[in-house]
Amino acid sequence: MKRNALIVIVFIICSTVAIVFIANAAAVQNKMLLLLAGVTKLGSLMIAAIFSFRSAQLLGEGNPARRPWMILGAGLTAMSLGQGLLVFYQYTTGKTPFPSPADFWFVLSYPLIIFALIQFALTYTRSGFGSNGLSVFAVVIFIIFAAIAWPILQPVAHMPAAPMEKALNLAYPSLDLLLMVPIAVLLRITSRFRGGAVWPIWLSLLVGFVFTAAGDILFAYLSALGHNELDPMIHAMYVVAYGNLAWGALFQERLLTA
Amino acid sequence: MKNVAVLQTIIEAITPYIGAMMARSSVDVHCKRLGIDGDQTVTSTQINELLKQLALGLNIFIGRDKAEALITNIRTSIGGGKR
Repeated sequence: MKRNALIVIVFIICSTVAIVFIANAAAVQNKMLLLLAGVTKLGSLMIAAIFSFRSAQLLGEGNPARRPWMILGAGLTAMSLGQGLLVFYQYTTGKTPFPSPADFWFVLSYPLIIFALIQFALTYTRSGFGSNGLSVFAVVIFIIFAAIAWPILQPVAHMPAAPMEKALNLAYPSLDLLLMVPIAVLLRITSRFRGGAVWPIWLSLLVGFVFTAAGDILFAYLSALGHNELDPMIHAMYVVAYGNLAWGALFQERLLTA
Repeated sequence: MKNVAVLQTIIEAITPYIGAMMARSSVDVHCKRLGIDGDQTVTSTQINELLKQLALGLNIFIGRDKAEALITNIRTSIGGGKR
C-alpha cells in the first residue's frame, strides 16, 4: 500500500471512529463498536511502531537520530502489545478489563518513550537546532506539572480500590505528567520548524502524546470519582492520540524516502 | 553573486525542510561561529564549512543521502563551490 494512501486511511478511520464515540454515549456498551475502536487503536499503534523502526533504518548507521527513533519504535511496540491484549479481551468478553496483563506493556512503554523523547531533544540541541535555556525551561515545566499532578492524584490516592488498580491509576497520570516535560521541551524546539516538512512530524507526534496523557489522566481521575459517563470520550481521545502517532511516524518515513 | 545573496540562496534551499525561521536562525548561528559577515566577502573555505555544518544538522532529519544531495544543489546554485 502506498504511504500517502495509508496517511489518508489512518485519518479517515480514526476521525470516523472518534466521531462515533463522541456522538454516541452508549458506544462502550456495544461490543462491535468497542472492538472497532480497539482494532483502530491497535492498527494505528502498529503503523506508528513499524514506521518508526523504518525511519531509524532509513536514517542509516552513525546517524544521531537513529537511536531515538529505534527506542520510540520499541516504546510504541510495547503499547501495541498492550493494546493487542486489550483487543483480545474485548473480542472474547466484550469488556475492557482494568487492571490486566495489558498494563504491563503499557507501563513498560513509558520509560522507553520518555527516554526516546529526551534523546531527540539532546540530538537536536547538539546538532545546532536547539534553543537557549532549555534546561531551565525543563525544570520550570517539571515544577508546573508536579504542582498540577498533586491535586489530580489526591482523589486517586484516596479512592477505595484494589492495590493494583490504585497503583496503576497513580502510575499512569504520574508517568504522563513526567512525559510532558520532554514533550514541552521538544515542542519548544520544533515549533521553530513551522512551515518546513519536519514540523508536521513533530506536531503529530506531540499531539499524539498529549492526547494519550489527557486520556490517561481523565480515566484515572474519573475512575477515582466513580464516574464513567465520559468513557466514550476517553476512547475517542486514545483513537485521536494513536492516529496522530501513526501520522508522525508516516510523515518522517515519507520525508526520508520522498 | 554577492555574499548576502549566497546566504539567501542557502536559506531558501533548506526552508522547505526546516521552515523559514529555523533556516535563517541556523544559518545565522553557523555564520557567527565561522566569522561570516553578510556585508563582507566570504571565502570558499567559509562557505564549504557552512554547508558542511548545515549538512550535519539536516542529516538528522532527512538522512545523509538527501542532505548531501541538497548541499550539492546549493553548491551548484551558488557557483559550484568555487566562491
